[in-house]
Amino acid sequence: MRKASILILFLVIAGNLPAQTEESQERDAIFLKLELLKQAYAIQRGYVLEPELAWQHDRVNFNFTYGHSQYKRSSLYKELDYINKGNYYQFGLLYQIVASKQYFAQGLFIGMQVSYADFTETGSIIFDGPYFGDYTSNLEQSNKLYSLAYLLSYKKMVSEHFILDLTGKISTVLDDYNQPHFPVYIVPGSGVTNIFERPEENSFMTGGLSVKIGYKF
Amino acid sequence: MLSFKHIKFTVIAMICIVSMQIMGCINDDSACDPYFNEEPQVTVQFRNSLSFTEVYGIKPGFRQYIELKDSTYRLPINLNTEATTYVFRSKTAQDTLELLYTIDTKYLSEDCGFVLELKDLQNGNLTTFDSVYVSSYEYHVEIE
Repeated sequence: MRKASILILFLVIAGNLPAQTEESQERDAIFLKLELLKQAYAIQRGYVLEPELAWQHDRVNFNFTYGHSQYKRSSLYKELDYINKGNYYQFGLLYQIVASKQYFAQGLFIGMQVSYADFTETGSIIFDGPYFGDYTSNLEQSNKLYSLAYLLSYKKMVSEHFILDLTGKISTVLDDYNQPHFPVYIVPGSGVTNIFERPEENSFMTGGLSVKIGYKF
Repeated sequence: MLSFKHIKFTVIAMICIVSMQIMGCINDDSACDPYFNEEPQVTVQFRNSLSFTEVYGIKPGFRQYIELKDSTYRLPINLNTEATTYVFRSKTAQDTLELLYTIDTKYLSEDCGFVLELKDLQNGNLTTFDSVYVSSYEYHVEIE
């Protein structure tokens, strides 16, 4: 996956064209994008597949993202060997507030995104049993959560067909996500909801940054 | 100018404050009650004063005796099953006590971490005692 990311970056740099001078007449474009930052973060912790299909019409950008991720961590909440696995679906709507005259779809965007995550968190803990023997408690909790995200995005055409997409987002989990065994740690597609690993500090708000590379058809 | 008395008072006051802070940081195990961080124990009491020569929980392998402490037996609960049977032997008789229960695991707090909750403590069919009282925090079993 890391090699693939490097190859994509190489293609972007190699395919970079000289600056275009005339104004763009385009009104529609379709993009297929791949997330790079989460991939890098997921190395040795799991994997993230997050393709995005986007359609830009004038200054409006509609996008759909399907995500599948698995994240592993040891000693979460001090003792838990934790695995988070699931799917998420995101629908986004962006408006281009600053547009480039030369390059269609390049500029600054603001927007919102609705996300639905269906994921399972599992973990195991060992308790001492001095008389009858140790006990391994295997915990599993399933979650189906909606989130709403506010987006600020900068998109830059780095060549005729490749686009670089930097997006910052603040996300709010809309559902009550209290669980009987342990606090939800990550909502896939939205972020870490318990960054301090204390149940008293569960947060419905998460923040994040995504770096995507896309191809314009 | 600060007098020796003032300095002495300040130093003592600082020692007291630091001591109180350190004491406050020490984990208070009772804060995790009624939960357990390891194999739970229940307390068993008998109405009649009985003297047992051997008390042990039934488990495969070897027999490990449970000692009398402060005039009570503290019986360990087997976490790997939902029933535990204990044998109480005296010079003249043998009785059994069977306890049924469920165990839940949950994350309680940063200080207590993951804990075990002993729930639904009940008497089992294998119990032969006529009179016994078993307790664990809010759960208790009384056989009369």
